[in-house]
Amino acid sequence: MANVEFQSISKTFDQQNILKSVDLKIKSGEFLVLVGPSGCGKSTLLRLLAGLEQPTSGEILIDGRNVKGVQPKDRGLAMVFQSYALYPHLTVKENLGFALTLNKTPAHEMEKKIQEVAEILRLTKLLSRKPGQLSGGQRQRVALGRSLVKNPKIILFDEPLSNLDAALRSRMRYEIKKIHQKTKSTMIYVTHDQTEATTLGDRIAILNSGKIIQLGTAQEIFNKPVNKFVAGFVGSPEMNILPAEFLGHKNIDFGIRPDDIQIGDGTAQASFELEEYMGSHYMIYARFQGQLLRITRSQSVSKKTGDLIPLNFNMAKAHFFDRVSELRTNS
Amino acid sequence: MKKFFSLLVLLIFSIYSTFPIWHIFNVSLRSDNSFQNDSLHFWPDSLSWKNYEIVFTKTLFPTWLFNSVMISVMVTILGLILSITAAYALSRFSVQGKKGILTFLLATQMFPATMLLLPFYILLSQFHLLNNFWGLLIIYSSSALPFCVWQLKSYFDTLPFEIEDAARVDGCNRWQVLWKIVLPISKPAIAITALFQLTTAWSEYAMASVVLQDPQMQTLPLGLKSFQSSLATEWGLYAAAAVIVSLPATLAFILLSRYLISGLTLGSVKG
Ligand SMILES: Nc1ncnc2c1ncn2[C@@H]1O[C@H](COP(=O)(O)OP(=O)(O)OP(=O)(O)O)[C@@H](O)[C@H]1O
Ligand SMILES: [Mg+2]
Repeated sequence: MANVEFQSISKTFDQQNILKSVDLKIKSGEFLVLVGPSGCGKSTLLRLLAGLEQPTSGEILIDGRNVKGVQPKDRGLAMVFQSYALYPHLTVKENLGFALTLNKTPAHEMEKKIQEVAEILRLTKLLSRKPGQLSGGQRQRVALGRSLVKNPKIILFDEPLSNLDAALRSRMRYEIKKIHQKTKSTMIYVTHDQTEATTLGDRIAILNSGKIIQLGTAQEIFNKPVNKFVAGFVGSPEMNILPAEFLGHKNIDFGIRPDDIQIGDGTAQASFELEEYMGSHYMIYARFQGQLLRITRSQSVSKKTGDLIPLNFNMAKAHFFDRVSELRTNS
Repeated sequence: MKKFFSLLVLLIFSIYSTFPIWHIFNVSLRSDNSFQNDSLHFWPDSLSWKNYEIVFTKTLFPTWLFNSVMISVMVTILGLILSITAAYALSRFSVQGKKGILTFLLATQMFPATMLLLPFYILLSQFHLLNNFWGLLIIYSSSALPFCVWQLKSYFDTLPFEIEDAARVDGCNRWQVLWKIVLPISKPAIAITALFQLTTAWSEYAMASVVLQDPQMQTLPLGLKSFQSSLATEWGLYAAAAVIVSLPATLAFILLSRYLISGLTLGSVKG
């Protein structure tokens, strides 16, 4: 448990400003999810906190202490790397125990810890293998396990579940959540997965072009995205965004989530294009004001391409954005 | 059929390249001094180990052997320490003028070794290192260094740096990262580098002949040469000594061949 504070952190690589004055406070024991498009600097932010990279300007505080010049090993954190970064010459067991060997943990205690973590991550049968003999998903679980054995104050996860299949992924998500509840470590978690973001995070931070654009609970971000980028980035399927002229607004864009459109009893007329069966629901594509809309619905509409269907927008859930600044205009 | 031909070609080349060695071995087993015997038999006429006995008991050969082993081992150890640290730094840290350093290292390899004899001689005499193992040690390890640094640096460059980052987060300092992670992963490259340094030092003649004049301090290549000149060319002894000299190098190659093979296919197995 430790709190973390980024104070106007900037990072420049080869004259490119990757991070531009990022301010971010993470509470002790918090689970913060960091999302953003590829290349926006998520990994860089984690590497700065881990001490693997030095900020071009700004300060990082861990428990109120400025960690400038503090070596990675002395920052009391663990990290799961995007590329796994397992030690290829060591067995799974030695990989898991590496940090414990370094801090001279007694052998029996180490054995217990390794077994415990291996159990949770289903690695027990693989302990004597080398990383080269593991599948991608197994490697990823070893990488995850390596960060858990030493009970760090802070754990940084860089897309730790990206290579697992859906079933294993939801299981691991559950395990991570349980571990967080048990250890109360501060966790910072990078992901591209919407479900991981909303289920795991106490709060979600959205990073784009080097800045934190929005920070809040999943509900806050989902219901009140601060700008068009966040509106399009969070939520799946993606929010529909179209010019609001048909509602009588000038230079404003109108956003509505696929769930917030009803088919059948409205005044707006759209022309049906096609529908997809998604298992639990149908995804309907219809053209309205020259734009393709996505609408989710529990039943099929049973229409042919070109048929007119009436739409009803749930205006209480509507989002409005200034077309130039792209900022949210309704509260 | 194709296989038969390739085997045949390989066989011919093997005989072609091993015949001189076989011949030396042959001569070393003769009791007389018949190197230029008209009858160049394929099999030795006699099977006598007398030459080997004489080499070990009646000549300075054991001293030379000891000198050579000592120098080679020390050159290898010193050379490895220097080249590993330099190569790692050049591969991983942002060193001022890195490009320049690397080009300079490569440029030093352009000069033929004989050209350096005189400058080295003068330097060593100024530092009172003539007739001194340290002098030879410094020269050997420094002259092999550029090649070894390049070789190891290229290898280190292929290692994903996130593995080292993970080790640093796990609790390693920079030295521990090198010792516990980088070196074990780099075994093949280090084996090749060690072999290169070992064989260079083991077989070097020109520089040794300048630096070491005292017969008690000489190395094997110098000693072999002295059989040729002083004792009116004792071919039997010479051949026996040559066989012994070639054994350690052969042995080292066989022991390290495992790494040589994996070393040559490196990079293709990354990840
Ligand atoms: N060592 C480096 N040298 C130069 N540029 C770098 C370096 N590390 C990262 N970058 C650049 O910084 C930017 C951000 O990289 P980063 O890895 O933080 O992105 P990311 O948000 O983690 O992306 P992804 O989701 O694809 O993992 C990228 O444009 C990348 O090319
Ligand atoms: Mg990344």
